[in-house]
Amino acid sequence: MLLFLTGPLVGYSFIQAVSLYGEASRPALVTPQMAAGLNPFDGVIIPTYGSLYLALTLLFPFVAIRMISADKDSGALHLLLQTPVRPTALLASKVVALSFALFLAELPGFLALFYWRLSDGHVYAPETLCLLFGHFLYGLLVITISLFAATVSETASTAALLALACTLGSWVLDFAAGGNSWLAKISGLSLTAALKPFEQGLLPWNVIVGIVIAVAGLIALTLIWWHPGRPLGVKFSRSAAALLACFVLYPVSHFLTRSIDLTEDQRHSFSPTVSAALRQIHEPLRITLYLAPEDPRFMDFDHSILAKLRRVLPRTEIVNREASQAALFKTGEDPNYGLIVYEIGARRAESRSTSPEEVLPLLWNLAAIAPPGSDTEAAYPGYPLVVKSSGRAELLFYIFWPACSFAGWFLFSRR
Amino acid sequence: MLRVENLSKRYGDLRALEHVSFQTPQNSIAGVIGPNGAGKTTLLLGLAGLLPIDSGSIRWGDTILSANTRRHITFYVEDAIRPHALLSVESVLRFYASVFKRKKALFNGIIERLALRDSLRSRVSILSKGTAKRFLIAIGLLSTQPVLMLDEPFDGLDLKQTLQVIPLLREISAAGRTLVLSIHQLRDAERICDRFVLLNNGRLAGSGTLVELQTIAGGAQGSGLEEIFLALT
Repeated sequence: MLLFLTGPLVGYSFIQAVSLYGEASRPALVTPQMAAGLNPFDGVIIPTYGSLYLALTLLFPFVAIRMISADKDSGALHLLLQTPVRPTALLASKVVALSFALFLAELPGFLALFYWRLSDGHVYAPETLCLLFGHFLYGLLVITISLFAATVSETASTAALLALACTLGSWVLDFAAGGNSWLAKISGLSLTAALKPFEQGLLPWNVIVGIVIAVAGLIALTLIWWHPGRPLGVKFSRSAAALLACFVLYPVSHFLTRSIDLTEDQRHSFSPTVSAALRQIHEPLRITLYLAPEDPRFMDFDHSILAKLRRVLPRTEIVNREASQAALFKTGEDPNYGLIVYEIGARRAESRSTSPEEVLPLLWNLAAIAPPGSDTEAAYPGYPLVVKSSGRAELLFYIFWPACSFAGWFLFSRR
Repeated sequence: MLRVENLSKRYGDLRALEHVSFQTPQNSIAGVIGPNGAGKTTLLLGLAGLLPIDSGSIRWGDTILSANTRRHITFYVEDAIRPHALLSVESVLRFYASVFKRKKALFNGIIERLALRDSLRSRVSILSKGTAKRFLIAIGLLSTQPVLMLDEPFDGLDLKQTLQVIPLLREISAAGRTLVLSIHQLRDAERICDRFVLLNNGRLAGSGTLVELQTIAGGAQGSGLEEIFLALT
């Protein structure tokens, strides 16, 4: 059923994305200067995989839950736990089987990529592989959450509710993240937040290690609660130990501040010469902002300066004095509002600009570093493409894929 | 010798087992007898380590079996289950034969003796009650633990099939395994068991051979299990 549905779902997103990308590409084909803004990773691949994210979040938990619940309901669990195979190996085999199911569920995405390439679409392998890796990690999280939910629940329907409460609960956290409350901080733990850097073409070590710790913790909890012969007290005490281990290990991931920018246009990085010059700043850099998080200037500054600075100078201390204020109510009442203060050692500079063209010279001056020369690297060319609709994609995703899924199910059920 | 001492288990306020003690020698066939709700399944699940017991101990020889080590000594097959329902009988039996490292000849022997050859390609989910029971017995026979526990091994079997299975279980017992069978039908129990554990409302009503139970019950020599059970409960 999952395979049957994902084809049309992914196909619809892909066809829509290709159509919109084509519309946006038309002017760029006439005016080459506009081409640089056309990135197929953002325009086609991410929207296509967005539907797979939906399928993973809403449908895949049922597949994973069935793996445990069916054994419980049919009596197979009791038999399996009495075999010489260790429960760890049994659970590992289930995780491997579900990872294969995950791969099958992702097949429509691969099909879309293949179709895009056949249509002369551009695919930059590193950022695409980064996205696929992110989906794999996200899938592992969904699998382990679902397995744990199935283990602690009496029935499959209760397990489904529990698993969906976790996955859909992440959406609530993401929604809350828009505000300035403490929920915004917790929202960093949401499943969607874990996938976001990979969708941006970033390979963040802290997120990878965080996910690995969460997956290991959930597997440990599943193993603890899986065996029906274990007394409740033992289950609780071992669970507490497993959770404690996770809470101790999780902060370690925050020390891994490095991330690899795998995007073709290196949008999350300063140019190599600017990065090299910034690395010459050995004293800690402190930036104090007076900008509310909803303010477009903050978003611009965060995207074009702060995010890149954090990658080059992980020790940079960033303090936002207006982090708890709403931008809507900050119209002129605070004279400092909009100010950005830079400090290196005892040296200090102020500016209200959020543009790298003005901020970087200020930093060179403050750090007493000679401004770097201009880069000789070619600018990102952009890849405009108009794919004429021939109906083949519709045929592939709406007819061929469901027919294959149905045939596969029919053949398996007759065995 | 399998020794069970003071086994107790409660489900909230309900006393499922209360200080149940019995012993059964190696190579014997013990029947756990009792009406519905007597605690038979709870006892066997506890012996298999699949249900936490509140108190008591289980020994195999001189060794006390902890919940973790019980799976090396006991193997329990529940009644009315359809494990791995979507797979074929053959693939499930081959899986259990491979995890227990059983030889092909023994695998084929079990298939023949339990008349499962014609059902090998069938899915477990579509098996008739009798075939499903023989399939479950086959899983039990493929296991290698010294104590094999079967819940209602004759439920669903017709008389002819029951009379085919009884000698097979006797052979297994003679070959070195201890069988503990939970049996509802007293007549079937008398046919196969060497010893009996009589349970009623979670309490032990008596245990031992038929002759020993006749003595406990104070009945005449030659009285059947039914009379003994009624006398003791």
